[in-house]
Amino acid sequence: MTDTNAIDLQIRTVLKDHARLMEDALTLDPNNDLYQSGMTSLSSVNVMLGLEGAFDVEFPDHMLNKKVFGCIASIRSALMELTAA
Amino acid sequence: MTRYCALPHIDAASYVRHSLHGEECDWVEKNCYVDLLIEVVHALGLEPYAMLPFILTVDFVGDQWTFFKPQHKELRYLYGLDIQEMSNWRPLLDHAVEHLSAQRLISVEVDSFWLPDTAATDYRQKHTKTTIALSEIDTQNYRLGYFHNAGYYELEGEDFRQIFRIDMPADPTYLPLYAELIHINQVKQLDDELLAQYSGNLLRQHIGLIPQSNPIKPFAERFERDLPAMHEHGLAYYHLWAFNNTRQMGAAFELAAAYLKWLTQYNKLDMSPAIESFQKISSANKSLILKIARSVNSSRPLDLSALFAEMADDWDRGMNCVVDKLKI
Repeated sequence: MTDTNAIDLQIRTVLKDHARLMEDALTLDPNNDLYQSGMTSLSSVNVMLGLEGAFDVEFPDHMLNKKVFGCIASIRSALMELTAA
Repeated sequence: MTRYCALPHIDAASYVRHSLHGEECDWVEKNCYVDLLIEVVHALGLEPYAMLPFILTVDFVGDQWTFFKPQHKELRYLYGLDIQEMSNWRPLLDHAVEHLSAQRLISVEVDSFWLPDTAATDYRQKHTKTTIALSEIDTQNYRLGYFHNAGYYELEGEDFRQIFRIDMPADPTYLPLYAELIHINQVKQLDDELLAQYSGNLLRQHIGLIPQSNPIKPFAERFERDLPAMHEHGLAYYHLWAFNNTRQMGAAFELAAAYLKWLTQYNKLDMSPAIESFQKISSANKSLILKIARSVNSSRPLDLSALFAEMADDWDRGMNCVVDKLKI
């Protein structure tokens, strides 16, 4: 499994546990808008906490926004930036 | 006849929400009452921005920010909408048939446990009081069309039976929840310029009602006192605190920025410093809600003094700009 696939799987698992999406987080297109797929601002809080726990990171202030948490691809980019640092 | 409809042109499948509930908003949902009114006004072909002058008066009141909503007299002034309390003296289903057939919507508090539009939060999971507006009912097929939060939805079957307490035994301990009638038979559509002028008149009145001192400072102090209790009680408690504090505050100032942006298209005043300042408060609260959640989840201390100081400065800057531009 490539690094990207492994990261995506972990992201999807967190979404499955916390995002309460209308669609299956395990098969959702990585560019689909998570908020339009059912994630609310309430569940996005739990998603953020879940991601920080799963990846042992802390999102800096400039990443605490809808743009970062808007889709799997953007979450992946943010996490790769944080874990590479 | 089994189908009664106050707004025949509305359909859940094709309903398009107002831009105040657009996905690009920091706070798509503000509070259930103002959200519902935004969409009802929008569904009537009217402009909801005009009713927002009240938003400048939000205050921190001890354990919460103002649960903001427009005054009914202002809705009558702007749109000819008449909202009055409905005496909930007989089964809600009977009230619905009576009033929807006479083109009066009913706003009523219900248990969101039975609202399918809350699938991501409460539906069949948690019992929470919320307000919906009944618009269409089919008493034979047990189907309801209703406004709630940021949209217009339908429910049926068991959800319908529960909302309307169909076939439930009489229960002397059950107290019906608060309801209102929304009369739409005298709705008026002013042209855009006149509506903006009326709205500006309301804004001048509300400027006299803004908090006498910066509300963000006591909020910052109260947060420091509340944080240990949030650490003790955990995330479920925090989410309640956050809805009544950071969400109301953030959503209020996003609405304030949006309102001034709309109004200044017509009054041609430059309120860009206020718009920017209020938008900054909205954005800061998006960050705040996540940072506090992290602290609650980990029980780690959290120093938000710089963030609160910046928000307080933004409040001062924004309010001074509005007062100055309106020359009050």
